[in-house]
Amino acid sequence: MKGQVKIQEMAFVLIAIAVFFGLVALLYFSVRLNQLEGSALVFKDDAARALLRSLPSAPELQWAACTSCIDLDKVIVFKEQGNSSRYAQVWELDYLAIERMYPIPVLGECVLGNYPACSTLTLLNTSRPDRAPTRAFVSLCRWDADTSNEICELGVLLASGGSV
Amino acid sequence: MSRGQEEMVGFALIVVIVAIIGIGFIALSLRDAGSTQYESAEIGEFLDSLMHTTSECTGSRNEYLDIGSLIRTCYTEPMQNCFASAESVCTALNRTLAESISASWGIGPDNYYTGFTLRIDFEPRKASLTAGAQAEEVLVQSYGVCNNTKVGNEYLISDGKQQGTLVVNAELCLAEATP
Repeated sequence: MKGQVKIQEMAFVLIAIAVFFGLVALLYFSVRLNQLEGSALVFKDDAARALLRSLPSAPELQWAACTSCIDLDKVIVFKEQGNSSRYAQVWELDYLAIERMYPIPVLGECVLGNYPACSTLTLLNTSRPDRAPTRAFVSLCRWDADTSNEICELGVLLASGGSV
Repeated sequence: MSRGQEEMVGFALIVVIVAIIGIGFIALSLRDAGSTQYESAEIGEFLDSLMHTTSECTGSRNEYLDIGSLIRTCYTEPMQNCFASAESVCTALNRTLAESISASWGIGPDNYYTGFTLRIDFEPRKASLTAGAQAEEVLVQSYGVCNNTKVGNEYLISDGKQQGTLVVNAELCLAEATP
């Protein structure tokens, strides 16, 4: 009888320990899964940025002397000729814009009449984006008539839609 | 104390000790290891683009220097002036970096980006170390305040004399816990 009581006591204690560590394990894995979700978002963001980084290598936009640089003079002509909409499907984008960051430009949308005294070239804007566009820094190069030199500026590519 | 009570106390003690060990183990594995830094592709792109950006400083052949060349010149010939403006190369570099960082990142205590640090160090080649070359700090610029979470990346520039590498390291400090 005494032995049975002892066995029962031991059983209750073991069950209590098992339940306790079960709860602890549940808490641990829920925290780990949250961290995994954060890592997945980072991975998706990096994949979107990799797609953006491939855009400067497109012949329509590329600066000849630098594979990761965009030729701003080509871009303004590309925009003015209305080629952007044809490329929306190729690039799988709803929104694509280039913003000049430094040197700080005169604010405004670029057209042939005000180029290069402007800040933004919107190439695609087929639908209102439902989230903030992905941003990637790029070099924007052009011929500067004032200094008679080729110059490169700091800019960003903004894109959304499709896989971005 | 009866024997039964002694045994119950013993059981309780064992449970408490095992629980403390288990909680300690879990706390160690989930512990925030102080400052958390993640490598950032965006910072890498920023540095790559920044190094190609043309500055206002002209070299001896009246060519406009990009920021990468400006960094190299500031390290190898710190006393040199920009040809057109007579401004010191290193002064021009500091000013250009400050302006470009300020224009690119909205740094502020209430913003998502709370701080930014740019650091340029010279790291000599192993062969140069035996000849007496030393690692040295070339430039440090800091903006805002940094909490625990940072993202960063680095860009390497040859010193042009095959004695070592200029390492440009950028760290962006974030307000939130996850990057």
